[in-house]
Parts: sequence; C-alpha cells; structure tokens
Amino acid sequence: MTWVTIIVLAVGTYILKAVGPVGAGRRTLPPNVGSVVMLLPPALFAALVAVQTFADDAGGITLDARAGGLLAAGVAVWFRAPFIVVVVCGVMVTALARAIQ
Amino acid sequence: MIGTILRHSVVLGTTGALMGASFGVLAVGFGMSPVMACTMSVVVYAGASQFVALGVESAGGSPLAAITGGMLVNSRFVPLSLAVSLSLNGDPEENNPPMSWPYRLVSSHLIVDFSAAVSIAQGDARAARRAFWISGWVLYLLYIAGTAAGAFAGAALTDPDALGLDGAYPAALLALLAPQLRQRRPGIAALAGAGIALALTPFTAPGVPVLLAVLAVAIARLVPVEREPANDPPSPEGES
Repeated sequence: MTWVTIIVLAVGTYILKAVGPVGAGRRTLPPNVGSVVMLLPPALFAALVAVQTFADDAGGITLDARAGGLLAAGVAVWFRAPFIVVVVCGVMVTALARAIQ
Repeated sequence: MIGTILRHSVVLGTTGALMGASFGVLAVGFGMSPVMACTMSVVVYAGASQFVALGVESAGGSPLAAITGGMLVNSRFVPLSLAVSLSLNGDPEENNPPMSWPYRLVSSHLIVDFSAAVSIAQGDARAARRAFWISGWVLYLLYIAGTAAGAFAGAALTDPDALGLDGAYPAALLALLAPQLRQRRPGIAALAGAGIALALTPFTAPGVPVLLAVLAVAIARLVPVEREPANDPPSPEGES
C-alpha cells in the first residue's frame, strides 16, 4: 500500500460522505425528492445485508453459516426482540453453524 | 435514550473493533507499517473499501486499481449521506436550529452504515443528531483502537470469523431496518434492493451491486402508499 493510495482514497471517500451533510446542507428537498431519499436506506441496507450474508470471496452466491445467523436474527426481529438480543442471536448461530460445518 | 444508543454503539463498535483488528493484522502481514495501517483507518474510515484496496495492491494491482475498487465499494455513501442529512435536518416545520459547519464537516467523516442506520431510525432531528453523534464517535474510536491492536499486537488475535462476528452487522442492520420492513413501500424497496444486489453480485465488481440497489426505489414507488400510516406498536427497545 502506498501513501498516495491512502490519501486519494481518504479524500475521495470523504467527498462521497460529504454529499449529504455538506453538499445538500440545509436545502429543504421538494416532497417528491424527499420521499425518494427516504426509500434509499431500506434498499441500501437490505442490499448490504444480502451481500454480506450470501456473497463469497470469489464473487459468487453461497449458502453458509452466515445464512443461519441471518435467519436466527430474522426470527428474533419477528418476535420483536431487543436490538442486543437480535445481534447476539446472529453472532451465536453463525458461530454454531460454522463449528458444525 | 442516550444510554440505549450508547449500549448499542458499544456492542456494534466491539465487532467494528474486531473488523479493524483483522484489517490491522492483514495490512501488516502484507507489508504495511503499523502506523500506516492506523493512519488509513483514521483518514479513510470505511472498512470494506480498506480491505478491497489492500487486496488489490497486495495482489499486484496498481494504486489506481486499488483506489477505483475502494471508491466503488464506498459509492453507496452518496445516497446514504443524503438520507442521513435529511434525518439530521428534520422536518422543515419543526424549526430545528441549523447544523453548524463544524458539525456538518465532522459528521460527514463519521458516516458509516451503522451510524447512518441509527440516525435514520430516530423519530425527529434532535434525537437523530444526538444518536448520530454518539454512535458515530463510539464506532470511530473503537475501530481505530481495533486497527491499532491488530497492527501492533498482530497475530495474537483470534480469528473473528470463528466467533461468528461476521454475523453481527447483518443482524444489526436487520434489527434497525425492521420498523420499515413492516411498511409497504419501504418493505418493497428493501426486498427489491436485496434481490437486485444478489442478482448482480456474480457479474459486477464489489460495491456495484449495493449501489445499483438504489434502483429498487423506482420499483417501490410503483406501488401506492398505504392509505393509513403503519400503526405498529413501537418495538420493545423503543426507537426513542
């Protein structure tokens, strides 16, 4: 890794993150745009969850211990378990499934 | 409420610290100095992109390829930071005081998936600002501490995957997403987003599937809004 990579990636990442708080600032969005923006997080987070759970290092889709962890977390969410319980379920079942494999 | 946010942040921050630690171990293993690895976590502060850049360069890729790969993974921060700033600004009719410039400049750097999700999950701008500030700092500091531990203490650390810690982030995001999954349009946006991302994963570079998941919003907007707002009881932990 070179310093150039680190610095350019740092500046670039900061610019991406600053689009909202700095770029859009206090401009109030028209209601239409606002409703689009508020639908972005569910789409993005669900996509992240899906990729973190089902993608493998080689760019394929795979079903492994992580899917068990997500299922357990999903069941906990279904029963409206507290946040910490959901996370612990996800972690423990992932570890358990991986140990059994 | 501060206690709840703080507790959640420390739980997630601990797994974030382990992610930082595995980055530190890996980076030093690939010939980075510990100081360099820590600096990268401090100034880039976007875990996945750091792993991608490291992977590309250690496989003999050019710095340009490493930067491009990292930026692609981070491209989701554009839509995410817009949603964060909307939640921090709040409803224009609430008459919230404007965010100061230093707050905006610093909070931009503190945006990661979890701090964004926490602030978006709050009901109003005051709560969102507080929640974002607390979770943002806790996650940031623990991540850097983890990187330092990994980079300096190195191989003494156990493999976080064996402990199932890679199951923590998806579970946490799912928990924060839950109230929205129970509503029609956000629920469809989430399902479609996950579907798009998985469908694209085999064919595109890392980062692209999640970025293109924003197209799910167009699908969600095809369905009519529910006539009544979702009347769910608040989740037991209370989002406030």
